[in-house]
Amino acid sequence: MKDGTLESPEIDSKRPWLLLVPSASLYVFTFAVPLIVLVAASFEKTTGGVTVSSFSTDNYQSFFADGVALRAVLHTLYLSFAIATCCLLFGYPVAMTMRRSGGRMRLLLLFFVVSPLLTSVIVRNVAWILVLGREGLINVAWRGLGLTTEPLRLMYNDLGVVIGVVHVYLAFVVLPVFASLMAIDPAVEESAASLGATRVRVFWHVTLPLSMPGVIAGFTLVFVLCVGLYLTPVVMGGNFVVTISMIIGDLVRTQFDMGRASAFAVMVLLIVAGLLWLSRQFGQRYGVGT
Amino acid sequence: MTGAQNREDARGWVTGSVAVVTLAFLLLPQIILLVESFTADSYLAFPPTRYGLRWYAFILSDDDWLDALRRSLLVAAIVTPVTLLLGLMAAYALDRGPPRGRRTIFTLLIAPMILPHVVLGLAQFQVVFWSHMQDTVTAYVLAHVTIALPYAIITIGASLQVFDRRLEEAAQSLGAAPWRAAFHVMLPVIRPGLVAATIFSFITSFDEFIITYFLSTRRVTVPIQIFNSLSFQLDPSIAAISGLTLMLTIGLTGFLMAGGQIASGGRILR
Amino acid sequence: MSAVNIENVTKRFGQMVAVADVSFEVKPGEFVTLLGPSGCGKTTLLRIIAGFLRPSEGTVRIGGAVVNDMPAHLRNVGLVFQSYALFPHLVVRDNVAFGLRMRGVRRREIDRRVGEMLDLVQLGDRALYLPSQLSGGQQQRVALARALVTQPTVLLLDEPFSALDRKIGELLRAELKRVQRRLSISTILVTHAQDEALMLSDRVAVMNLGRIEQVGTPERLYERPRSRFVAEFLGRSNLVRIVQSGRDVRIAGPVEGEGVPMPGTSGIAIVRPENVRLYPPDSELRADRYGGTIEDVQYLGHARIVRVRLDAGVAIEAIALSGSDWKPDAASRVTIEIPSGSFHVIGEPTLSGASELDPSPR
Ligand SMILES: Nc1ncnc2c1ncn2[C@@H]1O[C@H](COP(=O)(O)OP(=O)(O)OP(=O)(O)O)[C@@H](O)[C@H]1O
Ligand SMILES: [Mg+2]
Repeated sequence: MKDGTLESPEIDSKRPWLLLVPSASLYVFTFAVPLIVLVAASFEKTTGGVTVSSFSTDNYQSFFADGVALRAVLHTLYLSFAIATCCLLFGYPVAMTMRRSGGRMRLLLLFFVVSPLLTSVIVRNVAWILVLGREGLINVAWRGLGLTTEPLRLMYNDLGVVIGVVHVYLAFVVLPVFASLMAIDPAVEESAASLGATRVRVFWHVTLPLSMPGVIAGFTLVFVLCVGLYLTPVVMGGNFVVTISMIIGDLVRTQFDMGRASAFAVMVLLIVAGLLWLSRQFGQRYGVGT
Repeated sequence: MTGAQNREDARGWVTGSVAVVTLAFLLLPQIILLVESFTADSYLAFPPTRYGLRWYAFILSDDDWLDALRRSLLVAAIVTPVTLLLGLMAAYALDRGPPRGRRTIFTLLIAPMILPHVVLGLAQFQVVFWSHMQDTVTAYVLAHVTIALPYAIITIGASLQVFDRRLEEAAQSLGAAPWRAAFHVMLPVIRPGLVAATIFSFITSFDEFIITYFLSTRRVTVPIQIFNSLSFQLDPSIAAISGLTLMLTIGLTGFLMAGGQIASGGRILR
Repeated sequence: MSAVNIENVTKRFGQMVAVADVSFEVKPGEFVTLLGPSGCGKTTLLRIIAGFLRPSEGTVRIGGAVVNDMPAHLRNVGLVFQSYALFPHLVVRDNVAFGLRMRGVRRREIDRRVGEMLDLVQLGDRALYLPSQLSGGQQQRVALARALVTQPTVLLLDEPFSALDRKIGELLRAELKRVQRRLSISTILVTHAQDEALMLSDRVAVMNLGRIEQVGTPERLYERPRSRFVAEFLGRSNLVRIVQSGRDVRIAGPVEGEGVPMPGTSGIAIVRPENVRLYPPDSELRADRYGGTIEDVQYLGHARIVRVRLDAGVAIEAIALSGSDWKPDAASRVTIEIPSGSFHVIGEPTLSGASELDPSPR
């Protein structure tokens, strides 16, 4: 493919970086400044729309004081963990199957996996209502079989949220896992097998450890994305599932309490940063760069 | 056949069936939705008892739905090319710039992707609120470009990384100035990456909920209109608008991918 | 006026010197090969000529004009890469037409010239194929056609045959030579394959560690290498310490070993295996003959490479053509003969015929 000597640019010219100017200026207005405003607002104390103090930690204290926010954070993390784990359990076999199949089949499987990403969240949620809801496909079939008269509760609880979210985020696990499975030289597994290891042992001692970079990348991505879950829990969890994002949304849309909303948002940011740091520690154990 | 072999076969079979079930799980809801959107019933239940275009006709004559649809399309139609252009420029800059610092810049550029959208939405809301830009298409476009850009940079960057730069040098030695070499050789060759970025930008914009939800009060987009109507009634108009959205995105995807195949003489499948 | 003229060109990458003070020229219509081991700076030099690298020092002239500051697309050079670098999205015809389109040549003119060029490389029937539908050899010919159709001042080829299997490679070499002669285009070929260099070139420049060790016709380089490096890089050679008395030259011992000190001038010389004659062990012993034992025989089909350990301790390789009655066996005794004229002292002209002139290239 590429040979290094032909490829390396002659001078380490920084001129191409000029092309970053448009993106960078956009980010200043839509990313950097808003985040600074957010942090500033999180320290502001207001009563009745009037700023009382521009530096107070009241908003942060309320995060820990009122159990609601803390409980929502814990529940969000629990959901994130459940979702990421399910994605891994179901996504890994799919990635293995993709690796084993030939070109055309692989392309088809890839399309299946990515297809939920091509449909909008709310549309997917509506679709799931049609499947899992009281009058949905499964309950109708269930009743038709005469198994029970009591409808199954498949949504408006954690289960519904997990199903709805796993549906999309599966792709985020399948893709990196597939990539790292493809990077494994089949000869390594074959030689392990030729040394007398059963397929199960080859999997546990060779394939799985070698695919760890993909597993960690996929798991982390899904976990982090889930920390911001909002729409699916609202639609598919009803009032029974509360995430931290829903609390923030409520503070903004109905209570207009920007200070507290901002403080909670900063807390979410810290949590995300912590998760990324943790994943890096794990990654380094498996020799993953960054 | 030995017992061990039996077990091995069983394991392969388990992996296979988990995969099949998972794939069915991935596709089933969209199919059901599509079928349901053609219901002629006046309530939402699967399977429909009668079929027809009744609810499509309804949403296409309803002012609220039409207004939301028009706004969503307008925003996405601006966001997509802007994101594509910015993404191409940024990915190219990273690819051709010095390796030192590349990693850091890349991380900064894709930061909006890992930032929870609630946080970004709230942050942008305060700025937009103070600058009286609530309910404006400009505000929506800026927000959507910000969250779509990381995906564009990643997909275009990936295709630039596998692009053989000697093709460009070959073009230059044949008399093409650098910009012409990029235009006539690099762009057509990285086309799959550009197509993927286009599809993702469009869908990200068309699908975006939480930030737009914060930035809007009356002038809503389709996802917000669906969300709002979900909270009072669950009638088949929701299935119809969802079906329309689904067909729109699938249609666009199919069109762009088929276009790519024709342009490259069907190379993708070979 | 020369097609290409390189004067004292040096290229540094940071501390590293990739090309060190290189000078040479290519006359119009001449075929020059840059030959050298991997990493010696051949590609770097080629890229400097093509305009993708700027020399740290020195001057590059193409067609008489200094091009140091001229961007690649204005240099009018034809370039063929090892990987061919065909445009994957364009069919053969459009690949070849690319350079003409960039120059704004009229459509009909393009069609005519592309058609001619495809016929020249015998790909007239593949005009509408995509590169991915062609074999390696065909792709290579498209790359050649694409580089030639614009009538460049000089054609540059970077290891164009190394990705092909041997048989096809040989065919294409002959074809390249034919096309090059036909268009009489000045050509610079980069390779690390000595047979390729010897077969195709009017002149060869042997490179080592960024320097040109020697430039000359293939015959001259092979027969009168200026350094041990050149001698060993081009073909097989025996390197020995010699002692000279009058017109007689004898092997004194191995180059690395101590050897027996002998009267007369001594030095280091090479002997090509084909100049070593093999005789039965009981042959008459003369001043230019040595007794020894066969250590190893390599069978090549048309010949055998026979390694003989002389009684004096030196190992000498000789070539025994197949087809003679005698078959050398390992461990058997032989006598070898090396005429005095077959020794070539390194760094000096051949001992015999010291006044012979370098046959200049056309
Ligand atoms: N852009 C660059 N930056 C740093 N070093 C380089 C660069 N390009 C080439 N080099 C170094 O210069 C030396 C010569 O490289 P060059 O590619 O010219 O060798 P070559 O003779 O073509 O070898 P090969 O036969 O393997 O292709 C090598 O040691 C290489 O590592
Ligand atoms: Mg090279």
